[in-house]
Amino acid sequence: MEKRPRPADLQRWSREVARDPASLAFLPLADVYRRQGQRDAALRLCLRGLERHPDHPGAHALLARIYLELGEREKAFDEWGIVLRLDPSSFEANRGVGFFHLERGDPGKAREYLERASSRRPDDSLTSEALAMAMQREAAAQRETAARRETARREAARRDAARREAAAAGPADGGGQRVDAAESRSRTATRRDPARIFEPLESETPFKGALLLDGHGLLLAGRLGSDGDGRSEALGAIVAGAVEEAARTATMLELGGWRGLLLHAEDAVLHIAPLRTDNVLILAAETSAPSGWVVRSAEAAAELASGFLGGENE
Amino acid sequence: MNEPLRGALDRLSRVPGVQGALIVDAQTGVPVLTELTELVDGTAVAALAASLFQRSSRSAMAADFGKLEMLQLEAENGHVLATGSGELVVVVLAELDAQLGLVRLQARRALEDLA
Repeated sequence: MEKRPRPADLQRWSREVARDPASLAFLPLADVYRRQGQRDAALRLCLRGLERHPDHPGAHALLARIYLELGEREKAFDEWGIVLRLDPSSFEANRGVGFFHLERGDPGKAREYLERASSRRPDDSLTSEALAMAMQREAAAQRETAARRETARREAARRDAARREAAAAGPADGGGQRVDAAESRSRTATRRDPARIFEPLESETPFKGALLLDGHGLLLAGRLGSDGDGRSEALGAIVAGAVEEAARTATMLELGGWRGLLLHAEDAVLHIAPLRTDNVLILAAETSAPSGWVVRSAEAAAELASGFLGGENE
Repeated sequence: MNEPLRGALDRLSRVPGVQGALIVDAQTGVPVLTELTELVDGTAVAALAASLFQRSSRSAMAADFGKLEMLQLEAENGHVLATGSGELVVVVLAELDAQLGLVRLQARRALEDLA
């Protein structure tokens, strides 16, 4: 249980900070303000103290706590990142970053940080519970990935078999019809494979991939070129912050609901858009892709995703 | 220093459909220079657009897509465009039917003037 500061301590710290702006007394004083619910005052004091002590891990940890209580999770995450650079063994920062990744749907990363926090304080029940949850979710995600790979492998084998069957029949023996039938079966299977729902767009040169995410940033369908499942899964968690910020910006500027966010980065163009109630669709393209093409392809991807979601709901 | 920037913002704000153009401090979200119609709250646009740019930049970097060069937010009633390089971000608020190609071109030019 935290010790309650005496009024005399408060006065002494206030005097010290007023007399010497470089004094470290800002730390306990800002923490008292925080615990009293005076978060804005705590934030101001902490930021001012950090100007004099930019490498003080305790000050960054306190700032993270203040941001967290203000609901600024991204900023708290940034501060914990600084704490970990200054003090990689910090229990609080490892735990905070672990919780953050768990919330954002990245159980692998969450486990990594929570294990470090747990090794520092094995008796912290909150950390132990979060670690157990991260491990369960990571195992579930791995099972899901393995199942998807198995589905893809079976699909490839089915296609090969269909081609062999058609080739063996030959063109003079109704082979054309057999090829059609075999390919039709194969196409049906393709529609059912979540990883391949955007396949019709893959012949377009600038297309790098498309992903359909649920409201929690979890991957529902699609893939990113040859980057592998891991990256596709991670991207959902990574863009979640930008999605929230886009929706907030549109609302607060009274622009109505957001329809899309086009990001031109050094190595790719991303189009992120809401779909139905809480799904998000991401389309990735080469940087050479014209913006109009990106928008049109995103519309085409949205149709394919809607078809997939419709099929899922049936 | 302000003359070329003022000129760049002036060109941006004259593109059909543009309601306002700003140069914003990327870290604090405070407007440095503005060209706005009376209806636009420059402080809010600056703060929100800078925050969106920062957040999207972090996402792009984290996803290994490299540095974010430009973003365009499309909403039911308009667009927000932001492009940045380092400490400053050029922000444009535009109507739904604005000439976005021209807006992007002028925003890039304004960014070059900042360099």
